[in-house]
Amino acid sequence: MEKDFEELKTLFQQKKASMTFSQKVVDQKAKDDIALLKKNHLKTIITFIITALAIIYIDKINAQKLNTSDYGFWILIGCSLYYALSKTYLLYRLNKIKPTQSVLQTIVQLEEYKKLNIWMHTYGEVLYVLVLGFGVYLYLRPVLDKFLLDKTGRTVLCFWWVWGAFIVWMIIYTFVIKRRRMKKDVDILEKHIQSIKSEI
Amino acid sequence: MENKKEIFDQLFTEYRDWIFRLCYSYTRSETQAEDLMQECFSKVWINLTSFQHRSDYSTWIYRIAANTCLMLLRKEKNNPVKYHETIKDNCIEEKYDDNEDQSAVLYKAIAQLNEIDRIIISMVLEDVSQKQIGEVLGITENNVNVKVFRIKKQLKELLSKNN
Repeated sequence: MEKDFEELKTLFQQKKASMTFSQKVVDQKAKDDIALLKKNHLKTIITFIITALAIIYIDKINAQKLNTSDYGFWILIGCSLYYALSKTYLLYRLNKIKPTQSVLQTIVQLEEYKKLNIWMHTYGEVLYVLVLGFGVYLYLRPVLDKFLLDKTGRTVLCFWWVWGAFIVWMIIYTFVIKRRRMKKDVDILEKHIQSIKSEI
Repeated sequence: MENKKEIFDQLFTEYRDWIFRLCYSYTRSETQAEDLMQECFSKVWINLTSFQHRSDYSTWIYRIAANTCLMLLRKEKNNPVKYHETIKDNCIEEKYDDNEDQSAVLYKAIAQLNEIDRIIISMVLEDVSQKQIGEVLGITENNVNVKVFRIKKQLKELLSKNN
């Protein structure tokens, strides 16, 4: 029986893939969309860890010259860490999607990831910016109080101009820049989910 | 990125025929087998950077290929029209292949086995160790041994019946 089976092996292995099959086609077809999302998350994580370190460093220098708020400092650090950790969690969720699992399982995981990503880019982002704004206000309050001792029209105007610019930036950042990024991510995910669904 | 390309090229060269034969034992159509093989390697390319080396490349690739083939079968079952067309296409190729060589008879017999048995026998015919087959399917080596013995017997019966 084993001898017969050896012959079967030879017969089976006679079949070869056509040489016309283009490797380049595979390369072109296989789009590394998910890898792009992972790369973006990694970039954000690194940026926010650096930001947290920069805040610590700046506070150390400021503490020698100014009386800044401890609450404000910890809120700013907390915001950076929240951002880095939330992106780390998103990255973890993406890494959990393995090629060896079933397609249906992949689709379910991608849909869940998409919902979480949308939440973080909308409500999460609004909460983040509100807390961040409050943190910045608290941190700079001692400085601003000193600054506002001089109540001339020019100083007050300058004060409101800076705060106005900050609020405008927060609105643009939350509702334009982040929403645009979210839409881009959703497009990539949708495309990927559709390509997987077309296999079913 | 360059490194990824190099690894992919190496894997493609090494496992192309392997994957093709597994796909062919499912589709018995060279065109469909090549399409399936392309799907398999697309998945390999997409997930190559996240491969964590918990198993050999061969085990990983075989698992991807097996999943892709099983998904094709489910897809065909859910789409009777297409399934019918596939069977019709296969019959045309079958006639052609029967005249061409004996290996067609072998592939025909393999196609008559159940889904999982097809994967097992394809791996056995590729000289994959029983330990590795167990890793691909998530079963013990002893279990593989028992299954292989049964499948070989069944394959022999099918071959003599088809001949």
